[in-house]
Amino acid sequence: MYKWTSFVGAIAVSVLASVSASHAQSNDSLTDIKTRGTLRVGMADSVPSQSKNPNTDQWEGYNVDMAQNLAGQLGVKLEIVDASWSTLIPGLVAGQYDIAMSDLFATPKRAQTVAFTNAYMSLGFSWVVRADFPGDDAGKLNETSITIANLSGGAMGDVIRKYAPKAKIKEVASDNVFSPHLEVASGRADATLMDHYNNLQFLKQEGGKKVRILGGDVQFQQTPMAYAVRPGDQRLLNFLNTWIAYNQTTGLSEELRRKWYGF
Amino acid sequence: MFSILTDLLPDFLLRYWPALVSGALVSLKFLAWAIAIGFPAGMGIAVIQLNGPALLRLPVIALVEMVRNTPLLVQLWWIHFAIPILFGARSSPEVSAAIGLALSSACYFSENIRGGLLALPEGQREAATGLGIGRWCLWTRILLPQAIIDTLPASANTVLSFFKATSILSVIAVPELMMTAMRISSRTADPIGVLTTMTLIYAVLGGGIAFALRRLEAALMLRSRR
Repeated sequence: MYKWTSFVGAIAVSVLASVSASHAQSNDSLTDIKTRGTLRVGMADSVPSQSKNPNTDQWEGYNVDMAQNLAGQLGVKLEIVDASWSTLIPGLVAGQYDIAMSDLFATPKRAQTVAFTNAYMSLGFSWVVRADFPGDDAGKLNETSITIANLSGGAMGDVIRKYAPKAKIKEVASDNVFSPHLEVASGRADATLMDHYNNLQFLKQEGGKKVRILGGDVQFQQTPMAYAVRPGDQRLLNFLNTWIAYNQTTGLSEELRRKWYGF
Repeated sequence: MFSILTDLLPDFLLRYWPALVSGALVSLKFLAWAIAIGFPAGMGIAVIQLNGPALLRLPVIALVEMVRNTPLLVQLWWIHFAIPILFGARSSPEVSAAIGLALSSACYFSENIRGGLLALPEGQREAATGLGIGRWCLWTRILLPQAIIDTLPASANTVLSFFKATSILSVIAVPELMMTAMRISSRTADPIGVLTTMTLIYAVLGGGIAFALRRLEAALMLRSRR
C-alpha cells in the first residue's frame, strides 16, 4: 500500500520529459480530458483501496468506485491504466495517465515531486512485533539492538526514524506489501511499521501467528491519503479538491469507506 | 473423496487457481513471443555482425553490446517511459514488455548463433565459393543450419533464462505469473502460501521446458549427425 515509487525513477523521467520539448505534457489536463472524452487514471495494486481481481482481471475497490464517480462528474469515459508501485509516479510524470488514484500517503517529502489533492481519507499506523517481543511499550523499540523492517519507498521510513531513531532500519525493496511482515515473522527483524488495516490482514493468516500488534489495537499518527497529479496541473487539482469536498458533504466518501474498509 | 482433497488445499488455491493458470499462460505467451521474434532476428543480427556492410554492422554491434551489458529491468523501464515521452505514443505494459523481450532475446540468440558460425571451419566457405554456390544458399543452407544445431544447448539455456526473466515483467504491471501471485498474496494476506505455490509452478513449467528442449536437441542432433 505504501511502497510508493522510486523517486530516482521519477526524477529520471522528469529529466527525459524536460529534454523532449516536442512532446511536452500539457499543463491543463482538465481540458485534455474533456477534449479526449476519456479520463485516464493510474492505479497500483493495494487491497482494499484498488486492486485487480486476479480471476476477473477487473479493477475493484474504494478508488475504483471513486474514479467511476469522477468520470461521471466529468461526463467522460474512465480508462484505468495498470501500474505497479514502482512505476506509478514515473508513469504520471511521463503522461501515461492524468491522475494517480492509489492510496498514497501525502507527505511533504513526496509533495516535492507531485502535486497532491486534499486528503480524501486518513489511516493510522501500528507496530507489528515478534510474538515473543517483551511487553507493549513502543519505547523499547528505540534501542540499538532492535532491527525494524521498512518497505523501501514507503511513507513509513520517516515515521520509524522519528519514533525509533536508535534502532537499525532494514530496508526491504519489494512490491509485496507484506514483505516487512515476513521479515519479522521469520525472525530477521524485530518489528515493522505499517498501516493498521494491512497489519490486521496479515495477523489473520498463517505467518501472522509469529507476530503480534504492539499494544493490541493501538493506532497512531493518522496520515492523510490523497490523489496525485503532475506538478503545475492547477486546474485539474482545483477541480479534484472541489470534487473531494463535495463527496464528503454528500456522504459518498463515508459510504464507500464502509463498503471497502469496513469501518 | 473430492471434498477431502479440497479440504487439504489452501483456500487461496481454490479461489484463485484460474488466475494462477492464466498468469502462467501469460508468462508462456511472452516466452513464445521472445523465441518467435528473437530467434529469427538473432540469426539476422549474427549474419550482419559477421558479414554485413560496415554501415549496418557497427550500429548492430552497438545495439547488441548495449542490450547485453544492461539489465532487462533497466531496459524495460527505459522502453516503458521513454517511448511515450520521445515519440508521443502511449505504450501499454504488454507492448513495452513485448518490445523489451524481443529486443533482448534477439541479441542473446544472436550471440549464440554468432559463436556457432565462428566455430565452423573456414574451408566450408572456400569450398562453397569454389563450387559457385551463391551467398544466400551458403548462409541459409550450409552455415546457419550447422551453427544453429551446434549451439542448441546454449540456445536452450537462453530460452530457460528468458522463461525466468518473464517474472521481471511484473515490475511494469504485466499480469504474468509473478504479478498474479503478488495480487493474490495482497488479497489473501498469505504471502508464504502463495509464493510457495508460485515457486512450484515455475519449477514444474521450467522443468517441462528443459525436458522438451533436451528432446528437441537430441532429435535435431540425430538428424544432423555428420
